[in-house]
Amino acid sequence: MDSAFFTNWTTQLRKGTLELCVLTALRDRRQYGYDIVKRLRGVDGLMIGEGTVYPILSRFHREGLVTTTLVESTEGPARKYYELTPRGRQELARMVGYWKSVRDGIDTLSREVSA
Amino acid sequence: MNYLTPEATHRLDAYLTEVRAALAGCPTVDPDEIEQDICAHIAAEFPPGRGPVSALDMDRVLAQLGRPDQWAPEGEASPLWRAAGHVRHLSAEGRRLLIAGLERLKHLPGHAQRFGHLALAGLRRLPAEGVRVGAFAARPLRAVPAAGRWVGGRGGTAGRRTGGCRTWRSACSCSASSSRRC
Repeated sequence: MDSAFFTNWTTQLRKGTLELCVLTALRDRRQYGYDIVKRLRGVDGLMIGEGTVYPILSRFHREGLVTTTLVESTEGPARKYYELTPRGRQELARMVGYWKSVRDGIDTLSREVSA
Repeated sequence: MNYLTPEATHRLDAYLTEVRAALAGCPTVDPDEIEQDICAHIAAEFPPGRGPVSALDMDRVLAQLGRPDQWAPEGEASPLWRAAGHVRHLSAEGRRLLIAGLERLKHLPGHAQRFGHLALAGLRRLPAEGVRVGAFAARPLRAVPAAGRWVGGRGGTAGRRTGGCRTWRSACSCSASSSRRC
């Protein structure tokens, strides 16, 4: 497969999935940016640069999917904690549902083609 | 956060300058907020008690953060950044004024912005860019804060740069010097 083609494909795929993973990381509790980055580090191929997470969080905030709270830290600058809003939870549920549907569809297609 | 060696400080400053250059003119991004995110990330990477932060340490973390233009939303990186690729050849003062000029352009109407971007992009070819950009930009830009300054972040909790030393207001008592202690 052509390298440029594959790079472009992974970039497109990564964009949407990174947003899904950022919201998923916030599902259970509020977290600050660095915590989210640390959790996502474990997902192979998800991030080209860890800095890509922060602009996504900022956009989610502008779009009302997360709220932010600044909390003082003794170890450095204040930490900005992110928490899902009700709308953020709603969008996450829709995204997860869609993701599962696509994933199952691809699995089914692969099985049918292999058979 | 630990001491930053002068070399590490320089690497961080250079990175922040390039991020600001990439963000200049982006309508949906607040460069101060991005800088706070970067600094909070770096502070978390180097917790207290770890020892001095070397240039190698800083390079590793900055490489993990990614290219400076990644901080701009897709398609919004400043026209000058896209045209020039990098601003490393400019003097520090030239870059500061260039970035201030680009930020100032955000407040102008569309056609004036385009003209301003072209004018600033042309300045990068001049030999004494710092002086020339300064002469062009300084007078109308008095109200624009210096790039890289951390004063007065949201909620009054961000770090403050004082006399060349970047500090965390809540935890640091260092004075102006070549090293940072946070």
